[in-house]
This record gives sequence, structure tokens and C-alpha cells, in this order.
Amino acid sequence: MESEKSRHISLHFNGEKVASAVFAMFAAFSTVAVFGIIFYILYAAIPAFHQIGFFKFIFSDVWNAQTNQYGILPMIVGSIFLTSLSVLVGGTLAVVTAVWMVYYCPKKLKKAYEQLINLLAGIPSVIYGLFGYTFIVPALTKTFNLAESGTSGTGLLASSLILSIMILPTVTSVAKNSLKNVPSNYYEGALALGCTKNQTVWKVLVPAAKNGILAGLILGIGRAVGETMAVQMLVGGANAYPFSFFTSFSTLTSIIVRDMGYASELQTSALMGSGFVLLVFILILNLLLLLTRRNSLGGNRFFTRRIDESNGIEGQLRSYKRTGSVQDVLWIISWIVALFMAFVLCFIVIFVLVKGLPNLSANFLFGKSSNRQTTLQPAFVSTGLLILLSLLIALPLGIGAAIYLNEYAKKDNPLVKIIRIFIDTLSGIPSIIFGMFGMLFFVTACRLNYSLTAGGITLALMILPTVIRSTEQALSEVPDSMREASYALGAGKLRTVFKVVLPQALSGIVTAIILSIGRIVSESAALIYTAGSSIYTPTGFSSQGSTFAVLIYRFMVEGTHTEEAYATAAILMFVVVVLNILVTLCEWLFKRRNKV
Amino acid sequence: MRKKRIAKIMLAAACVAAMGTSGTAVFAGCANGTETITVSGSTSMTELMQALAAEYEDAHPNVQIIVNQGGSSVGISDTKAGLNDFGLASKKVDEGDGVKGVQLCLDGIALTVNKDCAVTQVTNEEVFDLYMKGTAIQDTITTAIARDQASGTREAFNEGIKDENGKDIKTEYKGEYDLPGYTHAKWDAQQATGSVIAMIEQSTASIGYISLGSVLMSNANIKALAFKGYGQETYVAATTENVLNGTYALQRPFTIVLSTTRELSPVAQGFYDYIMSEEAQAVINAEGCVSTYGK
Repeated sequence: MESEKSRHISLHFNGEKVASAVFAMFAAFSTVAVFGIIFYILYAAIPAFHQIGFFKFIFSDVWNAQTNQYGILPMIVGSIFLTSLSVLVGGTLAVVTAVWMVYYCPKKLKKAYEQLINLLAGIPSVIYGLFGYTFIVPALTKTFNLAESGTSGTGLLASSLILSIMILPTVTSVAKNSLKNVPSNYYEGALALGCTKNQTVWKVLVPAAKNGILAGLILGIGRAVGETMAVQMLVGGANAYPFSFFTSFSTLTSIIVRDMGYASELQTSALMGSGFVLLVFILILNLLLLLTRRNSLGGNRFFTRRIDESNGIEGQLRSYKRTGSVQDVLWIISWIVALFMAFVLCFIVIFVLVKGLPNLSANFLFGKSSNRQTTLQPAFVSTGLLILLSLLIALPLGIGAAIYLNEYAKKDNPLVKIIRIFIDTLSGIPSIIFGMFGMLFFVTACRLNYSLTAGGITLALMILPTVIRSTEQALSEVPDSMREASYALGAGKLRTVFKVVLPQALSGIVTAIILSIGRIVSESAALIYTAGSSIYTPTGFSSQGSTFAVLIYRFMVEGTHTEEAYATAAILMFVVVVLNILVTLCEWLFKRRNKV
Repeated sequence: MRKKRIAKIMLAAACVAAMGTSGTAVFAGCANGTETITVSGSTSMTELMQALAAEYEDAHPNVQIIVNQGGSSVGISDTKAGLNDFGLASKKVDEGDGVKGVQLCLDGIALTVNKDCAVTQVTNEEVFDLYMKGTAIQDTITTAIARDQASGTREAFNEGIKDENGKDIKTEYKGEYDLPGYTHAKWDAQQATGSVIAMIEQSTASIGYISLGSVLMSNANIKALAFKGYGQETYVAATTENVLNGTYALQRPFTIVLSTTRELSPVAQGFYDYIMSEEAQAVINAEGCVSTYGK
């Protein structure tokens, strides 16, 4: 209704129509990007499918560069095994943690615990890999006396342990939201029927939120299947099936990182084929997600009143007696899990800092980087340039798209629905796929070579969904009365958007910037194939450059530079913590403002 | 209204932070005209090239040498395609197809065990039987550690270890350590020299193959075994001297790959001349490789 009125007002402005078209194009860009990625990866994989035979490629278990035979069955099995195990462990922990956060967490701890989980999500994949490789793997090797039998701790157990921790925040946050959406009537009804709090929580509220929890688990599966850097360091890397916990194996993603640098023509194509199979997995998961979303995330059409958080249901409920039933055991387990997760996070952060900080020196941070000594100075410059370029591209595109989706498009427009699906799809694509696409399209086809430009554009694609979502969220919170007031004063649509609505949505944009910076500093898989991994200070956007995360990977691969890897990880960890605090600070500031 | 100002300030601060970092970048970029040399190829040669590059960069502050890893085949294909100044290959490269190879030095492949392992010498047959049939070496070494398939060290090892007919693992067995009854899962292929060393350090019943230079340079609790090659009469100690005189059978050349169609740029020529000079041999030897200068 609101948009019709505005169209009427703005008829005589020619600029309005142009603006609307431009915003629509920005919004449609995500669709183009998704199709571009699918097309290019498939295009690069076709020689492998053609020469090897698609069926043979999928169902053969020989991967041998010397005989030019490539079959990815062991990698498919590896990915499936690893994902299943991680989602089983990580997903269960995540759901229990979410239940604890919503129903059992003491009020005072709530904010702090949320911060912990956010931080867990923010830790870069290379740091998880580094931690796993230098702590979990040796610990497993020692505990199970593996060296005697000639294996090491790498394999299914180590990789699924780390991956479980990595997917936990994703699943937890979605499950938490859907639990919060369960109508309070359910809760009160169950209590009225004589259930204890624990019975209510586990037998009524959790089943009521099952769609949302399922959606969270599917997102978790997507994250686990696509995870690359940490997994690559922990699986071992043999072309074998993971039929025991400590067998060295490979996944669809790890084989790409392992072989891309060495690959001949057909092998490159086979790796692209592996990427394409991964992409198909991800697209199927997205489709599943769409189906669960359709069934709404928790909630109910008839009862919409939610549990009022400010009243603190925890306090109110403690008076209900416990009965010693299964649900009471679950209640205790949820406490244990929640405390355990907090411990794990603190342990990782402190471990990295303790290992890294003593190795930091002014020379290592700011000295001239050369073959004699690789320093972090180039990383500061490269990271800065990458942040600048990708934000310069993604911010206008993303904000424009968000404006179109929230201000211009009609709510029931089927095109908008499709665009939203594609934005979600884009955000679900793993970074290794972005890296391969960047290499095929920007580096090779656009002849940008390995450069910060190619890396920056690739990163811009990756952060685009974040920018769109965050801005859209903020836009949707701007009350309609402000727009109406603006129209009433004679302002056109465009003027209203830019002068009235957008300034109100500043919070979303600032949050988007910080979240994007977080994503950029922790990215490694996408950058290695687009911006290279040079140890020199970049001299401009056309030179190669390594960020901190890429340098950590480089230090680790060389094997002899673990101290440097930890020192770099400590810096990165510090940056991630600061960014997390900034996001919270931002949200807190804007929430306070909105309340006034 | 005040809150709005805070928001604006934060946005501005974020922008300034981004600009600031990029500003330093541009500043750094203005620094004196540096010249870049790119070499790419064998991962086994990376450490050696980085050491040589470090020496050269010290003497020529405005030269940057980028050493890209990728494997010997990448070293050759990059040179053909003109993607580097010259390539690195840890094997012999014949002239033809637009490239030619010049030997830089030699490297031995050491059969490496834990220092506390009782075994001191092995034969070609024993190694072959362990890697291909799972037969224990002298009833002591039961576990064989392999490198991943992309490894040049693995390729050199596979070329050096032969069956009873003198056929090596690489050509006769497709480079895979498989015989009937073999399961993939038995082999824990390590992706780096460092992880092979780490595994050997933890067990006295394991054997692995790594570059001789890495054993000599390492302060880990490991040792290289004396080796009796196919058709050889005596055990030969794994030393640089024996690699140089050719008696130690498991060895490979480190080769510089040059294009036959284009000249080296003056700055790359300078670096090439340095690594081929007498001066550079000390660095080569210090890295555990075997200098062949003047021989």
C-alpha cells in the first residue's frame, strides 16, 4: 500500500524510475553471481567429466596424477563421513547449548554467553586448523599410542572434533532463535497441565521448535561440507576411505587445496569437478533449507505471544519441583555441555595467545619482509587494501539491493522471493568455491592475475549477502510513519530513502561493515587462489598480497615456522575479539537509541 | 540525536581505519623501484631457493625474489608458458619442448629412522618388500611412512627402489605402493617432510624417506640409514660425499629450468649467475644439498 502511494507521488520524477531500476539491478546481482559461479565451475570441470567419464569420475577410487586417473569416490565418502560425524556431535551439542541459553542460562550470564558463542563463530578456520594440528593431533597420537602402529592422530576423529566446534555457533544461533519463537501459550499450557519446567522444556518446547532446529542442522551440514582449511590440515590427505578414526583420508575440499598447486591440466579440471560436486551438495542443502523454512521457524499462526524475556522465565520457574525424570537428567546435561563449550572456547583463545604472544616482536610485526625473514608488515597493508576494495564494491551493491528489497519491491512479488533465495544461496557457498571461481574468472578470464584486485572482488562477492541482510534488517525496523511524514512534506521516494530511511538504518550498515571486516580478515581459502600468498608488501592493487590468515597457512605449510604461525594467529585472534566487541557495542548503542 | 552522532562518528572511524591502512599501502608502494624475480616449481627446492634468495636480497636491496611452490611439473609448465623467470625441478630435465635444464646441485633421499632404532643399514630388497609387501625390515621396522602423490621426494624414491627385475616402483607399479591384498587405508601419506620427521620421532619401528638435507639440518632424534642399492655389492652411508661420487643410489638432481625461446631478464640473469657461482656453493652445502660446482 505504502509503495503504491509513493509511486503515485514520484511519477513526475524521471530520476525516480532510473533509481528504481538501478536498485533492482543491484538486487538481481546476487542471482547473476550464483549462476556465474555454477556456470564457471561446471565449465572448468567439463574436460574432466568428458575425458574420464562422469560415471567413472564419481565412482572410481583411484586418484593418481602419474597415470592421469581421477576418481573422487573416496573423497565423497570422506566428506559424507566427516560431515555426518561432526553434525552428529556438533549438532547435538549445539541444540543442547541453544536450549540451555534460552531456558536455563542465568539472566546475568546471558549476554556474556552469547558473546562467547559469537566469538566461537568468529575464530578463523586456519586458527582452528592450527590448533587442531598442533594440539589435538599430537594429543591423540600420544593417548592412543598411534606412532607405534605407524599412524598419527590425523584423520576422522581429529577433523570431526574440530569441525564439531566450528559448526556449533551456526546451529546454536538458528536453534536459539526458533526456540525463542515458540509461543508462550505452549509453555504456560504445559505448566498448567502439571509438567515441571524440565518436562515442559524438553517435551513441549523443543519439539515445537523442531523445524527451526532442523534448519539450523542443515546450515551446519552446509558449513561442515564446505569447510576447507581446517579440514585440510587435519584429515591427513591420503586418497583413502575413512574406515577408521585415524586413517588418513581426503574430502572434496581438502583435495582441492592439496593438489591445486601441483595440478596438470586434466588434474585441475578434475579438482574443479570435485568442487562442482561440492557445489551440487550445497545447492541441494539450500533447497532442503528452503523447504524447512517454508514450514516456518518455530512459532505458530494462531498463538504469537512469545515468552517475555525481560520477565525472566528462569527465575519464575525455579519454584517448580523436579521429579527426577529423564528431562531432569537432560537439564543437568545441558549445564555440563554449556559449561564445557565455554571452557573449550576459552581454552582455544588462551592457548593461541599463550603460544603466540611470546613470539611477537617489533621486528616480526613491522620489519621488512624478505626471504630472510617473513614479517607481518605486508599483511597489514594487504588486509587494509582488501578491506577497502571489497567494501567499496559490496557496500553500494548491497545497500542498493537492500533498498530495493525493502523499499521498492512489493512484498508478494515472486521475483523478490527468487532474489532472496539466491542471496541465501550465495551466502551458503563455501569459500573454497569462491576461491576457485575467482581463480577461473577474475584471475584467468579477466586477466587480473594473482592480485589484490582479484582477491578484493572475490571477497566482495562473499560479503555481499551479509551486507544485504544486515542493511535490510535495519531498513525494515525503520517505522513507516517516518516515510509517510517525509512523503507528506512533499519529498520524493528517492529523497525519502536517502534522507530519511537510510540514516535511520545506519546501525545495520555499520554492523555490516564490521561483520564484513571480520569475514575478510579470517578468510584464507578464497584468497590463496586469487590474491596469491606473496611475502612482500604489495605496491598497489595489481600486486599479490597475503593477509594474516594466509600467512598463518603459509607458515604452517612450511612446517618449520610454527612459532610464527602462532604469533600471527595471536594477532588475528586479537583483531577478531576486538571486532566482536565492536559489533556488540554497536548493537547496544543503536538499541538504546531506538528505545529513546 | 547524540546517539546518532555517535553512530556517524563510528562509521567515519571505520572509514578512516580502512583508508589509513590503505594509505600506508600506497606509501609503501612509492618506495624505491623494486625489481621482482619469480621462480616456481619443486617444493623440495623451496627452502634452498629461499636461502639463496635471502643472500641475494641482502646484497641487492631493491630486488625481490618470489619463490612459488608447486611441484616440478609446475616448474616446467610455468617456464614454458612464460609465467616465471625460471623454473625449479627436482629431477633431470631434458632439452626440448621449449625448455632446458641446468643442474644446480644434487640431493640425496635418506631412508630415515628413529635414532634409537637398532637398524643401521638396509638393502633395496628390504625396502621394496616393506613398502610393497609389508615384510618387516630385520624384524624391527614394521611401519612404512609414505609421502603424498604430489611429492617430488616420493617420485625420486619410487624411481630409486626397484623390484627383483630392476623395474622401479614409479614405472612398473604406477607409483603406488600396492600389491594384491593391499588396502588404501594402510598408507598414511604425509603431506610434508616435517610430519614424516614427527612420526619417526615418535616410533622406533617406522621408516620414512625425506631429503638428505633435511636429515642433516634437523635437530630431531632421527638418523639416515646406509643403503645398498639394486645391483650394488656394499652398503653405502648416506653422506653428501657419497651422493657426490654417485655411490649412494637414492639421489636426484636439483635442476634450474630455463626457456629456450626467451632470454632471462637482466635482473633474473643476475640472480641466476649468483646461484651458479662459487660464492653460492657455501649456501647450497649449508642447506644439506650437494654442490657440484666445477665437477
